Amino acid sequence: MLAMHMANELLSVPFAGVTLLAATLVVVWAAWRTKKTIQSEKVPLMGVIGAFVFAGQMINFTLPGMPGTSGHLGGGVLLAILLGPSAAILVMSAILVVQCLLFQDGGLLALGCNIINMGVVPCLVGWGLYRLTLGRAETAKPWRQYAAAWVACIVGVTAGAALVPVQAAISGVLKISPVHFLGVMVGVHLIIGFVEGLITFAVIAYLRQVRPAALGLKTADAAGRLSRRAVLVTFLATAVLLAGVVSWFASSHPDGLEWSYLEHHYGESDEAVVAPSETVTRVDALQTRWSLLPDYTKRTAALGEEPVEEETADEAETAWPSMSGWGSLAGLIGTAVTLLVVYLIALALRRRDRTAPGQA
Amino acid sequence: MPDDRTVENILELNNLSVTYPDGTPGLHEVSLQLARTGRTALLGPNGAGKTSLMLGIMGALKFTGDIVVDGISLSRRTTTDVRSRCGMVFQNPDDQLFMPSLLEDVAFGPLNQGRSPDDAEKRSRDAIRSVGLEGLEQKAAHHLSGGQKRGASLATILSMNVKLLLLDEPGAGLDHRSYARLIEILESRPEAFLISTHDLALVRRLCRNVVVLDKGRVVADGPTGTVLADAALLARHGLA
Amino acid sequence: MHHSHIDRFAQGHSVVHHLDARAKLLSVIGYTVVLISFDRYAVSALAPMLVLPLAMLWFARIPTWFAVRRVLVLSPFVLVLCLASPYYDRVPFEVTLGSWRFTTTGGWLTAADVAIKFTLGVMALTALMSTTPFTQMLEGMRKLGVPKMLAAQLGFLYRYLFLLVDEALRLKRGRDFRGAALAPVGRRLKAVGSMIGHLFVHTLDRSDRVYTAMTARGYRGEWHGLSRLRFRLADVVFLVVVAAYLVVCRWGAFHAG
Repeated sequence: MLAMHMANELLSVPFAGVTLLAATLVVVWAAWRTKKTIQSEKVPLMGVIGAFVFAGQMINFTLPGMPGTSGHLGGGVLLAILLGPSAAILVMSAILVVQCLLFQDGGLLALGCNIINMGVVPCLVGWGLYRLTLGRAETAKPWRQYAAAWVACIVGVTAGAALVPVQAAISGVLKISPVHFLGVMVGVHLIIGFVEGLITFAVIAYLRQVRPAALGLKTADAAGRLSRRAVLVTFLATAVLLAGVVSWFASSHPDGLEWSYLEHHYGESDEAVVAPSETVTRVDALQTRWSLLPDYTKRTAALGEEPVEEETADEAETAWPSMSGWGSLAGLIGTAVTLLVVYLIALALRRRDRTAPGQA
Repeated sequence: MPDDRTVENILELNNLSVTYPDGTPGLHEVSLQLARTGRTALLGPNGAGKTSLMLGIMGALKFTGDIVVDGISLSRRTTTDVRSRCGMVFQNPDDQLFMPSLLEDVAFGPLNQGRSPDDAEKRSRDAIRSVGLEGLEQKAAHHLSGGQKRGASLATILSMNVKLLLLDEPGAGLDHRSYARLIEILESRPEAFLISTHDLALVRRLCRNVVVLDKGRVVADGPTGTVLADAALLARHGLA
Repeated sequence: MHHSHIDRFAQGHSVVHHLDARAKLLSVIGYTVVLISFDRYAVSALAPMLVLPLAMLWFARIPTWFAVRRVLVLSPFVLVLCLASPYYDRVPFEVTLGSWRFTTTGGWLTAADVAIKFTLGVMALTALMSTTPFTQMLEGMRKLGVPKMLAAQLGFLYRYLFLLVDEALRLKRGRDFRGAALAPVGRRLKAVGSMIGHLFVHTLDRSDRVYTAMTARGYRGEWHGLSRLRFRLADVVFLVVVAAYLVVCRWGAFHAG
């Protein structure tokens, strides 16, 4: 099971800072709001619920017809349904921090984005759609409960995932087509969201029977059967969405190659460039106008304006200083020497500690 | 406030009744006394109300009747005071060891009692040492064995310098060595204690008095030798 | 759960272990910021960045393979960036090292760059977390401004994480041993729902009991922490050295031009 958390490498430092700040503000808001529904002295106990999510993620659900693949709970939407959106955001943030620190899932600088993409968005969007679709919780039939879970998860999970390429593109560090990236993210997460919808529904159905108070309900449900038809309908709907994404992806959008050639204005030993379509020119123009770090040099034109062509070409030659010869060789040798020295010191310390066993 | 020295009993229960939130009766007019240096065993089949009795003394349940700990009558106002004088070791140590490290767990009580961090740390280290867990202060609960967790639970209460210990089935699930260690520790403690247990050997070893509960009522209350000699009584209440 | 692989080295003793958690945390944050700030194609300039994580690991006597192994739990994004970049970015590049030169494309440089940065980042984070007991990390965070209640929440998460995951694994094993793989989808789904639901109910009940235990020990809503972290000369020296090192790495002489 791969971790779908964003890594540091997808972000630029300034943008990471912005997202960390934004995430902090949202978490502070969530903490404030949570105190209105849960007594403030019980807030630390939300951590125990966080541990539950970890545990819940261990329970996998093998999909029919696809041996070897299994889905599992993400948790944001389910938590929001069980605890309300603000408490859920708080718990998800705690989980993401622990995942980053203890399991190195997701980068330190990417915490802000991860909290937004995997915490705030699924919790808020998922919860909102769930309540909208469900209607009155007490009288909702199984198919409606399931539909609500499906909508909440599909949209909540996918929306969060769709932000990843957007954030990477804004950071200006993407060397692959953001549009392709977006297509892949949305496509994959439609499937993940579908599975999560199934699992979320199953958990809620269980709780409705066994512990309705956890859902804010007064009476327990009799064991309702989920009709195959409901599942089939949502499966088809998901498939249609997926097909839509795939076709959009394949049809009118630039080939990755062309995109990359237009981005860089050098061309000594290039292969022949295919005449670009209008969309490509427009996308490229948009990119150069708004990219904070066009071609990784300092921005010469103001944000929103076209940079002057000649400048970019000139700067291109000095844009990769680390690639010029002796400087970088010196760096490599210096590093190797430093490492050797450090290693020998560490070894010496180790030996000294061994000969003085009394030292802790 | 009555002078401590004139109060004979560390614990007095008068007609204590407890009803659970869902309406089922828990305890029915239970009365008992525990002397300042008393050691009493609480026996009874499962569901007799032993845990409820202890939770009641700790002020965690709604009750009618009187609970007097160290001369202080338990009420909403005096709950904090009472909790400074008696401590409960839960049946499941995982419910009671909730901090990321042992030292912090044991320091939790003293810190809440208003001690300074340094003072709390000192008391905690003493308590950890007295249960034989010295050196494990930085360990988290999931690093400890079952027997160690039991000792740790006890330490969390000892650091609070309470006068009365309530132990809910402390021997359950321990291997022989940990069990022997636990008995040693309890034997050496100056505090009064009330132990809920099924283990008659432990009762004979540690406790001077026995109170038998069944279905929420006291059915026997007397010296260990007398109560445990009454085979018919024991059989009637599923104890032997 | 194999929690040993996280906590295993954190309880050790070494020069690095005894450094203040705040100093280590700030250093690793600074390191990560500098790491990410390098240009996308500046691969060889990353070499000196090797020194900090390796030094920390070596002085802390943590096996290097342990840190590197964490890297292998790959981030799909990093994998995609590595594999896709050579496809998308075909701009040719000439790389020179001393008098040795070879040609490659921007995409391959990006792939190498991303892979190296990812590895270094994970190693630095591993070095931080395996030389600092989590409870000290929390105290460090509290002292750096994280609200006490939030830090307390993290503490509870950490404490009950392993317990609950073990419980989940036991449930899962019970299910697997009873031939769950052969059951039809509907029953499989229902089983998953009841296991997770059961875990949730258990967790709710447990947090009630924990709350009772907390109040029984005098808790009334205020969080008091032990105060054990003390900033010493060694910590100041460490911070200064790391800061200087980062400045040298980022703006040092081996960036010609």
